[in-house]
Amino acid sequence: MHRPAISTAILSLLAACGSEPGVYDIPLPEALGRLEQADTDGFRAARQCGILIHLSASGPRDNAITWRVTSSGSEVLRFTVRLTAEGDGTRAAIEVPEDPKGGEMYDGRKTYPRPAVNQPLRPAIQELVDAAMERRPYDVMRLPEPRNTDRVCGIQRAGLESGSFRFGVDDKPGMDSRQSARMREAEEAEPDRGAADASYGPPVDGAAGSWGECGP
Amino acid sequence: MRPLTSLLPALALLAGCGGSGEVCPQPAAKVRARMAAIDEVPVVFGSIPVTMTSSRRGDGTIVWRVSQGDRSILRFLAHSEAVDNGSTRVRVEVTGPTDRPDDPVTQRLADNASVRDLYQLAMAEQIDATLENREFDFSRIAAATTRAVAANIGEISANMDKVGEESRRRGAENIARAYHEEAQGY
Repeated sequence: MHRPAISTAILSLLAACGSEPGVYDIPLPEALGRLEQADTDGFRAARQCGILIHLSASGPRDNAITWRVTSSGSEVLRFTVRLTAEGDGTRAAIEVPEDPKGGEMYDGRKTYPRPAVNQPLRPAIQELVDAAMERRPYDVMRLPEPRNTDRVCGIQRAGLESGSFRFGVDDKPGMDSRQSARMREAEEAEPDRGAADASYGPPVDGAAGSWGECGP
Repeated sequence: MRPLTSLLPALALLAGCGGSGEVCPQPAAKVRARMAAIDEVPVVFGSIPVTMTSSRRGDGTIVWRVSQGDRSILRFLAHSEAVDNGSTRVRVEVTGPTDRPDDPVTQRLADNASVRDLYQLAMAEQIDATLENREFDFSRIAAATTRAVAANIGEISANMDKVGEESRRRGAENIARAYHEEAQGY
């Protein structure tokens, strides 16, 4: 009889189907330890746009870790992964702040003049958690399609990758950081020309200017 | 009905000055001086980091040496001769970096006519654009590009991965440099 072998094969198949997304067959303390080691460098390399960003973790606190994303010293995004025990395993819940214009920040439908990361954000964080739980490097190819919906992000990242352009949250509309700095110097020399546009923090429906700042 | 042959001079004019022996309505000295000033690499090299420097041979020929880093990879030659006081015949040629008959690049160009024709046409268009004070017109080399791609699709596909990997590596290096410079306070 081959019944034991067949049973083993079926069990393997079931295991291969995997459990519910975000639920890991790892005890909570171990899962928390793995989450602390999450590959944020890989996440940043795969998801960043044209501005330089830094991720810093706070926690764990109440079995949750929050990552602050800053650029030029200002917080541009934060997200939290909260773990709860579920049977012998652990459930990971992702929390992304609400957007003032509705929905969540970076939900795949927002437009930012100087985006921090590509959209949609949630699947990208899910991969960060999955990779941590499996103790492997971040793998952007595991993200479901569409992986990158933010055209502005893609354009500004290409500028950064080319080595020719840098972007920052304080850039003037339609300019990169170097052009903005030159413009500010000129304005300081000629103070009546008007103050800088400081509208680069929150998302907008569509901003004028080059570098893909128009809405899709 | 207008005979077809009467259209030929007009067609030759449309083809521009830098093709296969077309006549350019400008004096030879002016044509040579303007050609010698060309240092923009034809678009067929894409994002490959190449440079181009020109020199005069003394017989009316301008030679452009295309280099990748310190390595010379091929040459463009524009042979020019005065037809009369106001017009000049220009013929463009692409060849290997040396005059040796066994130059491997020269041999590869001879073996691959579609690529050779594309390079020659692209350089001719670069010359035309310069002499006619206009932008490079990609549509003039589109057909040759299609032929060259079709003839070399196997090798192009094999090279795509290499090019992509090289591009990713350069991009990652530039991003890492940006973070390094930010940390240094630049």
